[in-house]
Amino acid sequence: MMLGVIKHHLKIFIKFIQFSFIQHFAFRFNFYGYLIDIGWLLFSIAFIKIFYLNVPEIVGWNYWEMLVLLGVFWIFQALIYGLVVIGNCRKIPQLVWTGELDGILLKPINSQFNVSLRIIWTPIFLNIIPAIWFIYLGFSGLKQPADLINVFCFILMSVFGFLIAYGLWFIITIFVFFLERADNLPYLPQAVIDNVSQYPIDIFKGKTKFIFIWFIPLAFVVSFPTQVLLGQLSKIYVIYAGWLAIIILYLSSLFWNFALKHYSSASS
Amino acid sequence: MKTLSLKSLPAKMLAKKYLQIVKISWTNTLVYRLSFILWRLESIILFLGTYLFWLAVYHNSAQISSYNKTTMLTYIIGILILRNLVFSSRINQAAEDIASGGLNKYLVKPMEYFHWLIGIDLGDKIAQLFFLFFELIAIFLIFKPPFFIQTNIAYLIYFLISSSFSILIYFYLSLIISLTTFWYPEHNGWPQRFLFDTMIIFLSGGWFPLDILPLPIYRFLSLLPSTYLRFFPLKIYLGQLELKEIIKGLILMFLWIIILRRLTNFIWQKGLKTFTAVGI
Amino acid sequence: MSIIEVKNLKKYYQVHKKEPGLIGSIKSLFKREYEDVKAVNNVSFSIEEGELVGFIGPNGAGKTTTLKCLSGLLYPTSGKLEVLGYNPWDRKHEFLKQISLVMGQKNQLWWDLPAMETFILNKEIYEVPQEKFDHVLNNLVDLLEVKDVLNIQVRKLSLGQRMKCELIAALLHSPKVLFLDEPTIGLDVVMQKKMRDFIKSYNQKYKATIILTSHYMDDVSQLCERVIIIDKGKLIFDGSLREIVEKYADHKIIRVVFSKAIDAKKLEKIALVKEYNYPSAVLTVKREASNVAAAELLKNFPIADLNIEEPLIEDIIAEVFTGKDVS
Repeated sequence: MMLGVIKHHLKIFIKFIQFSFIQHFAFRFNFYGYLIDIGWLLFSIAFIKIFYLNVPEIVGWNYWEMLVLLGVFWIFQALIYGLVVIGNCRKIPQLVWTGELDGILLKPINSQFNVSLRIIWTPIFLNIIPAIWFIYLGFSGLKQPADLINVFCFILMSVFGFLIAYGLWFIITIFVFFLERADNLPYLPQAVIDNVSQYPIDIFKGKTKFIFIWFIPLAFVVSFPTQVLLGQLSKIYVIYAGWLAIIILYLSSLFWNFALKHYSSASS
Repeated sequence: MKTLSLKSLPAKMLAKKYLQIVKISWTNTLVYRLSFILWRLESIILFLGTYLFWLAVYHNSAQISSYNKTTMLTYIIGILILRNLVFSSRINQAAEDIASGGLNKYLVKPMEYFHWLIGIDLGDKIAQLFFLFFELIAIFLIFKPPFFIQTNIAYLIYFLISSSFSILIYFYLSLIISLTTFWYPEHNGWPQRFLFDTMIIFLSGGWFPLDILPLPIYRFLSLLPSTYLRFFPLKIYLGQLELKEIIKGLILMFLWIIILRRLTNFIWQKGLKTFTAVGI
Repeated sequence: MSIIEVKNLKKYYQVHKKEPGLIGSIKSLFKREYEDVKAVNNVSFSIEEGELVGFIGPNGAGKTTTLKCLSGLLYPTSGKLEVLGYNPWDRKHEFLKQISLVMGQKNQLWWDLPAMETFILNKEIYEVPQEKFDHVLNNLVDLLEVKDVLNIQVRKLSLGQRMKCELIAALLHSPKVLFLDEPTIGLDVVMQKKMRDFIKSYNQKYKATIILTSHYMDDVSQLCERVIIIDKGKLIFDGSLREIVEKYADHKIIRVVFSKAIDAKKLEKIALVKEYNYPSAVLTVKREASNVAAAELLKNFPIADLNIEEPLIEDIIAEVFTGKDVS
């Protein structure tokens, strides 16, 4: 029974991706967008290089390790923005105040799933290719082969990290149900999540660091998985990540249902 | 066809209209107080991330290119100030108006659409700067950053002049992006807006001072108007430019303003022709 | 067992009052006054399978709110609701698969894609088997005559075409219960008729239970045998259209065309003159007296044409709203 539900939602998820492809295939801007994206990527590497021409390490991370971090961060960004943020979270305020949310609630599929994944922005997934190249570059520089177990743990942790980031993003976005005119709300998590997770967690000190590890666990999104990949972090953190992901997802689901109850659709 | 000449209205009438628009925009910004607070929060957090990162980089008091810890952190704070002064999100509205057909309601009124945009921009900027003032106080109290205070009056004046030019340059650049919505209305012109916003942060020196890049790249970037949006004024403020470089830069900015203004006008006329009212 | 059962449904909203102006805005930051809006106030009724029922009432009467409660979108303040044996608020997937709510202008079609893509997505969401999907789709497309527009981007369709495609999207899963909220609003006269014809044939062909809300009388008089009148959240009448007419229309209308000039004052001895534009006049007269009055008119006046008519339903219902309570 449960398996049937998962299969059903998986099929629909594939449909969402298909839709996204169709829409963006017809979209003229793609080509130039990618060119600029590539340019931006190259500058990102240059950016880091410039730093490391002047300092040997930043909070204990050398150039190659930083390169790997950059790659992981880009993958995370592509996934979170492409799947959840651009098409979905950003549209939630609109869905709420126009009452369009009704249409979503009437469908016989999980409403949180629907509202979070309906509209996927596939062009951004292409960023994953250069991101993997960064990681490869980093490892070549470190002259250390990627340990298979590390890679596996890394992938697992990244999935957990993604779910954590999604959960946090979603919870913040849901506040639009309770606030008037908060159209900007889906952009707030961006500032925090992007900004914090793109750096190695060690640039924060003391209490702040503690908060970003255990309360707003952004360290688990990019920084910790990267460290696991590099073989620098104990595998126990994968377990922590798993638990945090489950807790945060559960909280997001509770909050979502609470918000729906509060939701009174605008009358005609 | 409407022309964009500011001389077409007697000055007083124009000023009155502007004032009214500014007032409405100011009120509007406050009504959307939550939106506004979020926007501020976002701005601050962005700043904090960059600031903390640079702080970590300079942990051992290194020197990067021509910047030591003090000048670099001053630069980072300067980026924040200029972000609020020069960059604005109100011009996005033009893209939305065009994509949705809402532009019609402005074209029908006896008022220049561009004046409307300028007014809104002003109103919004005033609100942003007002709050920035308090935020800066908080930043200085909490972080006690090593801040370089420019004492040379001449440099300060040039800084202010170049900043004003920056505001104009950004206004036209941003407007041009919004006007592309005439031909690319998909998603309310958001894709090109997003690309522009992302690139402009880097190109204006929002992540780091542009002159720490390799010389040929820096030379290339100096040809673009974006370098003058934040990087150039801040260089003046830091007193790191010779007088003749400053003058050269200011003249270049002025030329850019003229070019961009012509370009904007041209695109506007062309766009209006293409514009078909899209009903909802 | 009825397919839809509503018992003592109540839905109250809390709305906060805000004074206009700058002072009002500042005040509302600190203290807010709330007001109870009784959108639906103790409404009960039940509907059998295959019925086509009209909900009528003025704007803000509570029609849309009731529909939303029935489709699970709103959480009732109190009362018991059952649709197809389910509690709508649970929003169980099996329940949702069997209902459909169509609200006038709001859309579910993806704007930048052809309608066909939305149809296919819905097919997956509602888990409609391919064969059934093809069969139903073809039927609907034929009924609504939209074969040529299915593969054009929705944003490029006219309002009428879009509405037809919205309808198809809403019906592809052959819902047993269909809620239509103001289905003809904003449409021109021709489209309105087409829409009504479609609803009627859909009801007959598929035996779907349909509730439609409207404030256009023609929607109801053309389609519904049974009518529920709601006003200010209360159910005022539940019965057939004919019942309303018989119960509340205690008068009839006589239209007259005179062949020669007459003294209008003399008319008033026989009947109430509603309108007088020589050579026509519109008179109202008590129902029982209508025949006698007609005879009198024919005897005493030079008449070219005379018709006895029922009063307009709008007028009857307006009277129902303004005073006479059913319950």
